[in-house]
Parts: sequence; structure tokens; C-alpha cells
Amino acid sequence: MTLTKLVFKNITRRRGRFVFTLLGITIGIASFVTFMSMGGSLKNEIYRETAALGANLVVIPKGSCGYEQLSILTGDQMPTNISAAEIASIRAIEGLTVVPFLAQQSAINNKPVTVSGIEPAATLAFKRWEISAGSYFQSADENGVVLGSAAARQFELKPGASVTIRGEKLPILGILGETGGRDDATIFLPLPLAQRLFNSADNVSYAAIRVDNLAETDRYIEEIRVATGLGVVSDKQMLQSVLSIVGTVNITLQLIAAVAVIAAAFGIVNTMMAATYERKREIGILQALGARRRTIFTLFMLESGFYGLIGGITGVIFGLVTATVATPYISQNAFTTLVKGSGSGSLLDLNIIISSIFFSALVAIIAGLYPAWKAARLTPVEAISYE
Amino acid sequence: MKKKIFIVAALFVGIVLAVVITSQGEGDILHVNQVGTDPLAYSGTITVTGIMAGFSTSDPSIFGIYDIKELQCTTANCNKLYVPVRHQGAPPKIGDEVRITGSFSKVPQGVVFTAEKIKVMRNHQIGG
Repeated sequence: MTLTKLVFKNITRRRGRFVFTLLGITIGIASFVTFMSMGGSLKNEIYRETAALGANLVVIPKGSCGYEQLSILTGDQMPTNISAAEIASIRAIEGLTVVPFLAQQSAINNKPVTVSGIEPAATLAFKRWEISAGSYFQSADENGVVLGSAAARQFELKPGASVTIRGEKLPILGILGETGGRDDATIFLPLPLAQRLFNSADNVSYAAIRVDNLAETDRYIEEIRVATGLGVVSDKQMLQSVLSIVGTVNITLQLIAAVAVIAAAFGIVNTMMAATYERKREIGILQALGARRRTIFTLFMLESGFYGLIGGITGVIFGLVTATVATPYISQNAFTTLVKGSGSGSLLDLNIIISSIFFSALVAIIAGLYPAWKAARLTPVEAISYE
Repeated sequence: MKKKIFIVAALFVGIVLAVVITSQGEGDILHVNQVGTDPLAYSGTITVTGIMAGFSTSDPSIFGIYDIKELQCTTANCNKLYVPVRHQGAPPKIGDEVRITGSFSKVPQGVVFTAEKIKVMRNHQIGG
């Protein structure tokens, strides 16, 4: 009988124990894969949303923290205290294309939806949107809304129908083409209409800026700060700031996963220790037949490694299924709205799949070290005389 | 073997049942920043989560809650959005993270969230 056959026979001899030990490592690795996939998706979405914003600079209220910068990417409600005069001062600086936004929230059928007040012509040119149905705003103060494609799909809305925002019924003029970003899940209103509905006078939440000369970004930032006293961040600074917030979430998720994996590892230790005691006679017979300590050690290491490999594969499958199913149901908050995203982010990351299976095997091998060492150091007399 | 399969299946069913039971009755939990700017867009009974900020000076049965996210914002310029909550029972303490089930209604001063049930999750020790 070869070593591999012996390993397989030993593992499947006690099926119940095999199933429960495997279940332990499967659950541990599944939670590891779920959290890693979600964390990876979160980062990808942040990169995608920052790119979709299409801005080199973002003007935010003075003293805003990283969480307000995150709100720009998630489409959350934001304070509206940048005045029209301040926007005009920024526009007076040469070499800048300035597009203001009023970021608010409303609801359709009790489901929250992002509402964005925009300057129709300037935003269309800035974002390079396409219209997939109906028409775009014909004037800067038109009474109507244009929907992102995902919002239209989610609420089954079409041009000609209407939506109610802050108690006012507004006709749907058109639906934007897919952008792959948060814009897909947003309802757009002309800025004057949004300012009237949300009582924000002539204020906006933030402004996205594209610069003519990227080499002079620092000079533009300084000029805007001097002219308005508002906060200005470059797209890179914003990305850094938001990623640092998300980084802490990722660490928390990884710690939770680590606890599950460690618990599973102790399950393997327990199973292998029990196997060591139960199979003392078998070890003695193997030794009597000429098996060396190294062979006994390898036999037990292969057994625990097998648990890790199979548990890793099943854990990856369960983890990816859980991540795919759970992600859309994550309640909306500052951290998880990006995971929810617009649905285009993929959770299948080959790196995560391979590293998880490898990690599972490694954990199982480490967990098997002590039981294998205990089994290998048994003397033939001690092993064979065991009753 | 059948017995073991039965145990695994029972474990799985148990976990699913536990998840279903613990999440029952709460539905989608909304945040203050989601409901605060257009409260009347929400009809019927909803659940809102937030941080208890303080009591109304004119009506002690009304208290304000703000978004949990604002706990992370430590700069002076944090513009908190408050949702006024009316509740007849024992009120939560300042800094309590609460899950409030109720509905929005119009009052002469604006809109108030009338609480039917308040569940205190934890206290964030923000003083007051």
C-alpha cells in the first residue's frame, strides 16, 4: 500500500470526524475568502469611482474630513455650504473646468436613492455621458429629472413617467447610458431645481475640477485656497485618504477571518491528536515493518495537509458563493456602499482563490506539526504495547 | 453516515433559522443621512439607526439623532444632519446608538419621526 493510499484510507476511515474537521476548515476558509473578496472589491470600486469622477481636483468645504471625501464617491448626502460666489471665484482662475454638484438623498418606494443637482451642459461635457432613452435637459433650469441606468432599472422607471422628490412630482426626461460608476444609481436634477427643493439657497456640496495643465496642479490648489479658503484635494490625495479609511475596515475583516481560520486549525490539531492516540498500534506495526520516524511524520503531515487542501477548495467555493450572494444585501453605510457598487465589480480574483487554497494547506500543515511529531517519536515497544 | 448527514443538515438549518429570527422585523435599516433630507419620501413604518444627540428644549419628548458615520468625523466643520424623534417612553441616553422603528409625520414645526420601538445597541461615551 502506498503512502497516499494509506493517508486516504486513514482519513476516510472515520467519516464523521472527517466531515466535521473538513467543515471546520471549510467554514474558516470560506469566511476568509468572503472577507478578502469583499475587501478587494471595495478597493477596486474606489479606484473605479475615482476614475469615473473624472476630476483632477475636488473642492470641498474647509476642514472636511476623509469621510466627506468618501461621501463624494459613495453618493451619500453631503453638507451644502459652498456658495455660488465661491464657485465663481474658482471659475475666475484660468486653466480650470469647474463643475459643481449638490449631493442629496431621497427615496423611491422606501429605498434610498442619491439625488444630484448639476449644471446640465457643463456636467454632460465633463462626464461625457450618453443618453440611452428619452432626452437630456434642454435648459439649465428645466423642471425634470434624468436617471442613471441602474436607478431606472431598479425602480422600473421610463421617460414619460415621474418621480416625487421632496414632495414635488417631476417628469423623467431621459435615462443615461451605463457609466459603470455611482452615476448609474443617481437621479440628476438641474442645480436651480435641486437647490430650491432641498432649501440650499445657491449653495453646492462640492465641485469637481479638471485642470488644463497637470504639471501646475499644486499652483491651482494654492490659488483656489487663496481665492476661497475652501478645502482642495487632488484626485490622488482623495484616493489616498479614502483608501486609508477602507484599509482599517479591511484589517477588521481580515482579523475576523483569522479567528475563524485559527479555530479551524485547532480543529485539525484535535482530529490529528485523536488519530495519533487511536492509531498507536498501527504506528507500531508500521515501525515493526521498517517504517522510519520520517515516514510516520510524513504520513501524519500528509493527512493534515489533505484536510487543508480539500478544506481550502471547498472553502473557496463556499466563500465566493457567500460573497456574491451577501454583497448586494449589505446595508448601506460609509464603508459598504462601495461594495454594493453598481454591480459591475467582480468578486472573482484568481490571486485570492490561489492564495486561499495555499493558505489553507499551510495552516493545516502547521496544525499537523505537533500531532505528527508526537506520532513520530513513539518507540515501537510503546506503540505496539498500546491497548 | 446518514446520521452524520442529518447532523450537518440540522446544523445548517439551525444557522439559517438563527439568521432569519435575529433579522426578523427590522427589515432594511436606514441611516440618518439617508432619510434626513427627504423624510416624507418614506411612507409607513421604517427602521432608522443613529446616535442620540440631545433633547429638544421646547419639548422633552423629542430628541435628535445623527448619523453613525459622523462619529468618525473629528474635524470642526462636520455638518451633522439631525432627525427629530418623538417618543413617549423612557428615552435613550446621549451617545446611545439606537435603532428606532416608527414613521415620519408632518407637524407644525416640520417633520418628526414618531418612534414605536427603540432598541439601544450601545453607548459611544460622547458625554453630554
